[in-house]
Amino acid sequence: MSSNKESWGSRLGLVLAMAGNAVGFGNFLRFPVQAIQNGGGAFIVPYLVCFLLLGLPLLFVEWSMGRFGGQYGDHSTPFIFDRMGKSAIWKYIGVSGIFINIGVAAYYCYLESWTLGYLWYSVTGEFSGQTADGVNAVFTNYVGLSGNIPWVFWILCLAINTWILSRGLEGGVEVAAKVGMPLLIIFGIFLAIRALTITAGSDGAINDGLVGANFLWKPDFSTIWTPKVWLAAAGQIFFTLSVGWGMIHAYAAYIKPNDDVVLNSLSAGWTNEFVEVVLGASIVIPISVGYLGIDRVVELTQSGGLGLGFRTMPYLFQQWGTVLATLAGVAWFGLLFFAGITSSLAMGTPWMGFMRDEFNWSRNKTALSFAAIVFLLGLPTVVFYNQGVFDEFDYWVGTVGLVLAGLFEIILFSWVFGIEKGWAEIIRGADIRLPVFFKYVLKYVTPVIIILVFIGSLPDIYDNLVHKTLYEKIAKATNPTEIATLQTQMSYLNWSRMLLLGVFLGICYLVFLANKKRLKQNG
Amino acid sequence: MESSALFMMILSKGIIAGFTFYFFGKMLSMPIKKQTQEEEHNYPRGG
Repeated sequence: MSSNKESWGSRLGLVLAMAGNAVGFGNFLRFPVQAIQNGGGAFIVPYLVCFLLLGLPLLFVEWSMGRFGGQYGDHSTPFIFDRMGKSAIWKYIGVSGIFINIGVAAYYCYLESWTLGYLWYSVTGEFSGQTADGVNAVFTNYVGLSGNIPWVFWILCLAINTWILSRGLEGGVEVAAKVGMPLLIIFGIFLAIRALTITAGSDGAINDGLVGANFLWKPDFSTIWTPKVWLAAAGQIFFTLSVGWGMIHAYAAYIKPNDDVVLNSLSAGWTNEFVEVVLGASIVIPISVGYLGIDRVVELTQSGGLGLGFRTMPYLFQQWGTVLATLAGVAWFGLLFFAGITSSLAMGTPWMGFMRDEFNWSRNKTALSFAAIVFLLGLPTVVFYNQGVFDEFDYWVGTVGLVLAGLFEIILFSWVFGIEKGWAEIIRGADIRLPVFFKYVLKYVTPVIIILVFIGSLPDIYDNLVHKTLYEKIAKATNPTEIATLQTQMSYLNWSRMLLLGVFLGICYLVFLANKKRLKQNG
Repeated sequence: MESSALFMMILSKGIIAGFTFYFFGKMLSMPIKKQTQEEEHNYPRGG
């Protein structure tokens, strides 16, 4: 029997921790870019439909699966899946709930450490008086590991995560969420007000902040019937709510058997949407368009939102004068740090739950082991960032892995465990009545949407698998040095895949050992 | 700001803020449930 007897201290703490695990960098950097690339204001239609038919159902499923497992002392997906499935294979499919979190934490904690580093730079005036190229060079040097700062903040970030995890749910994760989430919202409101009140001609702005809001929200309804836009909306919902990871199961496994999951998941899910649509859509694009113009912003968003967040925003804040630039820098990178740490703590929880349940490890030992794994697995993403290893981890674990895990879990819940039992699990102890409409959505609609998302992603998955882009670059290259560099990059990517596969198999072996131990204990 | 963009922005943010405050407020206003003795402990494995 597991000695893992942790629990949440309060309902508010639980919901804030769940909302915090969903709120991440994507709320501020990914959503606005997705919206402007997929119909502007019209994107909200497929986005909200996907939230209703994909996001909310998966939240209900993961919360109730977690609570179900927790009743039996299972606090991570391998043995939650095992208990709900009818075949031994489910425990190995459930390995995804630990593997994805470790794999993502490996590069996510590094990304999170950038926010700490940039927070430091903002306070110490590193960006003061810098040109746009100067701020850009700071980022290039940072990811090129120039100087000690990137290492110091990465280690510091891992140490903070380890310390909070070692304090447990109530004394660590819950406290972090109760402090981090309100601060994140306050920082977001401050930046959103400042962004939307930018006036053309003032502080070097070439447009009003509302021009940026107009650019983001102007609807192009002609695009919303294209599969690409629906695929983007479904993908955004998947990533923003952190479904398919196994984190929600792990958090929900510590709630009591008759506690509500319906109202809690609605509160946490809608809080994430509030941060994403109400705050996230009001910061980066209005500020960038205000100072750079629409054409430049369109160009910058081609490579995603990270560039805007770290290469562009610090420079734009400098236009507001020293004091406001420092405040804005602290608010922006502080907001991203809180968004990051509330997610990375959630990534550590499945490993904590698994090792404590199955091998009776202490909290300190488990938290330290998580940090050690994240450090070792994260090293290639840090050292070979410019060779694409970071993006390779993100693609296979943080993109493809999530969709596959989400597909397996909805099949397990609605078809293997059975929708009648599953529905009874969801509504047990519910504080509000959930329309029976969702029962049919869970059985038919959500699985079909995930299958369509997966099928729609297959061409991209194939191209990535065979390194199509790299081969095209090699074919076009004429310089032998460039060809050799690209070939070396390909070998780094192949090694990183092998490494991830090794970690997955390693966790499968731990599950095998744990299962053997359980069988022995049960006679 | 064009009226169509303003309309979409206010409508989207209004709907989302409305649902968030409604569910969050409802969650906070719920009385704390009393768990039975059995429910206060994790069930044994296989139970």
